[in-house]
Amino acid sequence: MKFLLIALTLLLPVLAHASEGEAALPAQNWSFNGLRAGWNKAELYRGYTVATQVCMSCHSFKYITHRDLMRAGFTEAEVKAMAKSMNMDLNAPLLTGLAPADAQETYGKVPPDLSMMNKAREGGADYVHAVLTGFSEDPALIKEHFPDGLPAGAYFNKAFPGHAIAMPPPLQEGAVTYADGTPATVEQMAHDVATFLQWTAEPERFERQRMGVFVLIYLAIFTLLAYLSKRAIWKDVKGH
Amino acid sequence: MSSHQDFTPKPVEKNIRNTYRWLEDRLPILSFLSDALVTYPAPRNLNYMWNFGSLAGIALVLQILTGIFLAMHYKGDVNLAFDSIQHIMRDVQWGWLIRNLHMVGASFFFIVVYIHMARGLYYGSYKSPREVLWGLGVIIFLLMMATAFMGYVLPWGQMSYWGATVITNLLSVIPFIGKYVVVWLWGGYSVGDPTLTRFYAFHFVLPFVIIGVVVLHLWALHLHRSNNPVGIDLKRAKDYIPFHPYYTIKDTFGLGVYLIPFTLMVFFLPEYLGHPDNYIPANPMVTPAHIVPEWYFLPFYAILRAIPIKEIGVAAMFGSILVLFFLPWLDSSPVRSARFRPLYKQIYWLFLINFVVLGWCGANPPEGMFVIIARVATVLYFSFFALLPVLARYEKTKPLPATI
Amino acid sequence: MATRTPKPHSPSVDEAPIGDVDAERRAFLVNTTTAFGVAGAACVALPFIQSMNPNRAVQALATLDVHLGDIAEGTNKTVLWQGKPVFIWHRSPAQVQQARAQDSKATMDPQPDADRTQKPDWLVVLGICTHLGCVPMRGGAEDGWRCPCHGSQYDMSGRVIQGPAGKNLEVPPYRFLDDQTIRIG
Repeated sequence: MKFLLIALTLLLPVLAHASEGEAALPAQNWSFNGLRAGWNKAELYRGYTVATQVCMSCHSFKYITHRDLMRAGFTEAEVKAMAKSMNMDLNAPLLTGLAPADAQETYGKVPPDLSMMNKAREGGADYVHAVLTGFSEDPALIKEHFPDGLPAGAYFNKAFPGHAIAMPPPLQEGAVTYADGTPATVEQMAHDVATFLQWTAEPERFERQRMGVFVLIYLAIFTLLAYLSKRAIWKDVKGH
Repeated sequence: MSSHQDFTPKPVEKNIRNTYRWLEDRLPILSFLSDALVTYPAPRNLNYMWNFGSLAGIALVLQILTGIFLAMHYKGDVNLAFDSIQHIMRDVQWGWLIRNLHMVGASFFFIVVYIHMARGLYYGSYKSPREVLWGLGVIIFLLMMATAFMGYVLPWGQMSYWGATVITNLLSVIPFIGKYVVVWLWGGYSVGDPTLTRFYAFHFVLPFVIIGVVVLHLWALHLHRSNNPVGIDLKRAKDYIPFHPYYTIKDTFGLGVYLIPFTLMVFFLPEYLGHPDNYIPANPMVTPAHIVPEWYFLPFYAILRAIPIKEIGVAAMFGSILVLFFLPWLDSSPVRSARFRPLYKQIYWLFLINFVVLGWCGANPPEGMFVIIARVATVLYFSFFALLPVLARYEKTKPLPATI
Repeated sequence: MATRTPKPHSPSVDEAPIGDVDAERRAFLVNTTTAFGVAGAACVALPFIQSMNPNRAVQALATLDVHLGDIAEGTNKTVLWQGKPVFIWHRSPAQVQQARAQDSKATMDPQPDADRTQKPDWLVVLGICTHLGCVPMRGGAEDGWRCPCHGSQYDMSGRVIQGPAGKNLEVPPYRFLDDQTIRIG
């Protein structure tokens, strides 16, 4: 009775989640996943480079300041140098120079803020990576999805829902020069910036997980103690 | 007692150093608490399903605590609400922890309450003399749903906004005055700033109303004492054991078991039960492609969508909850526990499975086979209640033991 | 089901008669569980208490850089630092001399003017009366400040010369980044 009942009740939330149409996104190997994961500083710095030099021409990161980077493991001196190279105050949010009205006129759409992107899309970092690497000019592919041709001003993208995206392909081979000498391929930049976006979406990720381990250990001991106490106290009630 | 009788003041303890007696003679709150939590005679044969009542109480207290601390940082204004959630998650020290506890806590509260209700249903805890106890429970459930719904609106994301729009529009089916009621509820001609602000006010105050009803729920419980797995009335003193230490320690152990999956979700999967669209700020111009309520509303949402006529769909949805109030009278079988009711036991499990199926339909878009499944499941849901009076008449129950 | 009745417990399960092994074990377990649980609950309280302390955004604004170039000699400027007014007074040589001459009169909370400034011509003090927190106005018997709330007076170095306040205007932590900029905090 008990277990069946609890299992049934737990099935409800699980079903709710499982049935959300999960798009077949190619799953990537992320440095922030796994048991011993953490923020990879080199990757984050490369992602920061792409984000500030490419994304920020149109997109903002309004919840992120340079000071926040210190939470990801950058030192104060590094962060100050980064802010200085962009001529920005340490406490200023990373806002694009593109005015919303101008964006509306040029692209027909105001580019969304990117701080929360990995949380705001089904698939998270996999989705961001897939969109950034999913542009195609293959006429056959376009013809297959849009027999009457692409809508005006739109670009074909394999991962974007509806496949017609207003954003022009942002990454070209060598679009940025990485300070650590990593070759700036589209794949590399997409991977780095998606990692950076994971950090902007949940900078607390590893503080949270580390704390979680301690709490679980505590609870395991507490529950065991409570169980032993319960057995000792109930000893004289349940003679069976 | 007649007010015409003479009033004789009771002798009271005068020495304040005899603190317990002194306070007891003026406000017997300590003995009241002691009666409720220490000496309360509980049946000795309660199984672990009886843990979920006190767990629900703890879940409620946790929600209120985390909620009060969130309220210190949240801004109930359409221009600030979304940002203030990010402020809590990023800037407020431990803000992410408090918000995750509140967010995951809501789901776990519903899990606990659903199990608590299912237990009552299985062991016939709603039957005489506990009809009012059960009814108060249904009121708590309704209040919880209202509170949870309004709480989900507060982050002011896309799901908040469109969930609020869809659910408040349900009231437009009220004959004649429906559309005025909706405008009145919104404080405008669509969900907007006045709506958000009043939902915040309600979301803050309703949990305290719930506490009030919980007190009544416990009052009704203690009057006739707890039901038990055998479902018979326990008359012997030795059938009861004091709540403390037996059930306090059992509940403590249960709490530990409960907190482990809860903690896993809070620290490792906080977004698992959420929806990505709610991290997009509310936009009255664009409805998300696939809009679903939180999982705990899904079965009722499925009933709403199963019926192609708006008015009847809304009525069926509210009816599916309100019918619970009449359960004690629909089920007139004198035997409480399903252990001794072979037929009831079977339709009970069918009912629960059907409830999960309804939830599954609610989570999926109302297309193709889901429409058909949802309709069948809706009929089955109500058939359960329709069958109960018939069952009571024809079911051959197993003999009840005289004692436990 | 067992028919054996439970032995009546003493009201507290955390005490055991000496020699009763079972009861001792039980008391030990219950006491350990209770202590462990109370310690856990206390730890849970910490994040909640901490959440009410200044958040990261507020902490980030804990320092303030002020450009001194636009404060002409003899005038003063009030800036807001951590939500509190800070008086920055660009004193002329004559005013400095006057303030130093007042050293002997400031007997309530004696401190030489030279110790209250980093550069003699720049006086930086918190604009908060040390009585009950009002903002003093220019004026008073010694051409310093007087408080509109309860009449406390301060001299040209911000030292208290008349009660009810008992302490001098506080000098906030600050340093000169260069000749034209100070960082408060």
